[in-house]
Amino acid sequence: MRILLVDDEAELVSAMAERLAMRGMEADWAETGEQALEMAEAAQYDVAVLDMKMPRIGGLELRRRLEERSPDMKFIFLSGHGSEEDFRAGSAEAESYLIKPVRIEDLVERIHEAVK
Amino acid sequence: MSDERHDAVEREDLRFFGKVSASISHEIKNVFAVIHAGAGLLEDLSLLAAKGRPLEPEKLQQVSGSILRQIQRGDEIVRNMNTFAHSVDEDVRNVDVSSVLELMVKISQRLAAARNVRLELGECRSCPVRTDPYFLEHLLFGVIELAVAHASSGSVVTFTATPLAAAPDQGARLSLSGARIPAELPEGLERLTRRLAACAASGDEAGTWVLRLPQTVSQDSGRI
Repeated sequence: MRILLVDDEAELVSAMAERLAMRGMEADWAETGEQALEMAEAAQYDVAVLDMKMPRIGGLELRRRLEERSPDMKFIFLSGHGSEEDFRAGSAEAESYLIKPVRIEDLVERIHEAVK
Repeated sequence: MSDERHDAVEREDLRFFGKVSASISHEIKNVFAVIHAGAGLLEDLSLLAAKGRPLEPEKLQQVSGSILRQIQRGDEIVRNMNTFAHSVDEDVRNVDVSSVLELMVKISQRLAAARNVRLELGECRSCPVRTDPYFLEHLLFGVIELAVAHASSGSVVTFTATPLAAAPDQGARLSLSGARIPAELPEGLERLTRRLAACAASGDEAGTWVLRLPQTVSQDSGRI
């Protein structure tokens, strides 16, 4: 299974990618939406884990553009806010919605659920 | 002022306080998230080490360095939040306009980044004035929001704060370049400008917006 993690907090996604790799998942990371779109051109990802609030291309917009390229890709949103507005948008537009900080066990579980 | 108008003004002030608090709490959440991921990675590495996988000192240094950087970042965010929170302690007091500008630029960076706009501080010299610090912060935040809304994606908005050149003891001059500010400010910002007995205008240089603050604003100056 190949995962793409996208968040403008590079130290967060790099550590999460490493932790997923230790659990047998191939995980790449990007810190901008543009970078994520380039990576999705070059490789096939099963699940994308996206921060909702990112500069330039936000999570919702990035999801739309990734889905255009890879209709089978599943999505999990991350949010620091946990606001009602984010929850509604995140729950409606993705397989899962997680609030930071995220327990790795929860993320692994949601990834497995997303690809079921 | 009518009760309804008074309520609307109070609500607008609270909305500003809420926006700043939400932005700061989002920043703190990110700091916690990075620390949490780093600590989790250290835990994973120690579990693997217990199973016989050698520990790489460089890896440990990298992760612990990340955690330390985030703690410093969190400390700065909380210090800014504390400074902001204490700005309502007194109605009027001595403040350095440059310090208030620096604080509001730091607090607003994430909001600007969301629109792909960068905020920068240009020349900032000590500008001691006697004013209402909370209303000054509110005005600056509103101006930054307005500048970001009118700036094009990828642009840099630069702020400066200097004592009034002709008569430094007469107050401070604050300027903004890199975004067009409408000649007519929104009503809320006009109210704050009046409250601070300040004067806003498109400046002498093309595209520069200027705010002049008096040396002293009295306790009830401009109250509406």
